Amino acid sequence: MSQHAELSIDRWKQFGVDQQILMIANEMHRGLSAMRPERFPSLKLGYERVFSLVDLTVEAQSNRGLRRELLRWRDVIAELYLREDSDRATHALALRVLLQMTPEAAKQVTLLGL
Amino acid sequence: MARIVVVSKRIASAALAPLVREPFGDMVKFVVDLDRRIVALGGQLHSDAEAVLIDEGSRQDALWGGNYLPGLGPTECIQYTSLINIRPARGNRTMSVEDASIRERIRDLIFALVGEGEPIE
Repeated sequence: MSQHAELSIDRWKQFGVDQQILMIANEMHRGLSAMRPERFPSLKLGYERVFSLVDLTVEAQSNRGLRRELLRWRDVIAELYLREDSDRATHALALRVLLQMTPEAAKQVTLLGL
Repeated sequence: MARIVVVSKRIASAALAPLVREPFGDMVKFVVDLDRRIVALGGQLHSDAEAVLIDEGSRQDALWGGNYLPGLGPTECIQYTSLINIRPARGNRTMSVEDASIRERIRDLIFALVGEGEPIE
């Protein structure tokens, strides 16, 4: 069962947008260590968690521009999810783009070497 | 950005034609809200139409995306395929709408508000 199975929209709304983005980014960053073929099932599960968190964020956010960008970004993750192998370059780029959605999260780009 | 319109009543053929013509030429992307029984038509990305519906109050889990192709008749005019349909938490793990009952509801709504695959005049 996903560790986020019990995460409700009310609970998610208690986090600020920076924290929401960073928690999604945390899942993506964890995925970077699952790029080997034998870990591909774990990577796909990670993407499923990313979908759940993105969808919670879309529901929680009143900023239309951020919602639109998140939904477009979700499409990129969907394409990664549908692949039969990992794509480290696109995954890392998607993580970088995600972090740049808020100024606070963007501070992590340099720290993570992205 | 390609135009997106939201319809709650049958769209006229004259209004549908430009949405089919641009940007794809032979089809128009759609996102349906099965709860509110409205359809967002147009756009280059289903996620943009999804965003429009959410802006207007739709719940994301009531939304499903696909393509409408006029002129192909009632059995082939709807493609139940979109990246936004990938919803593992709801048991839909592919771009296709896997639940036959949801496909049926999508079809009924598209037939009512958009068309049944007849050619655009």
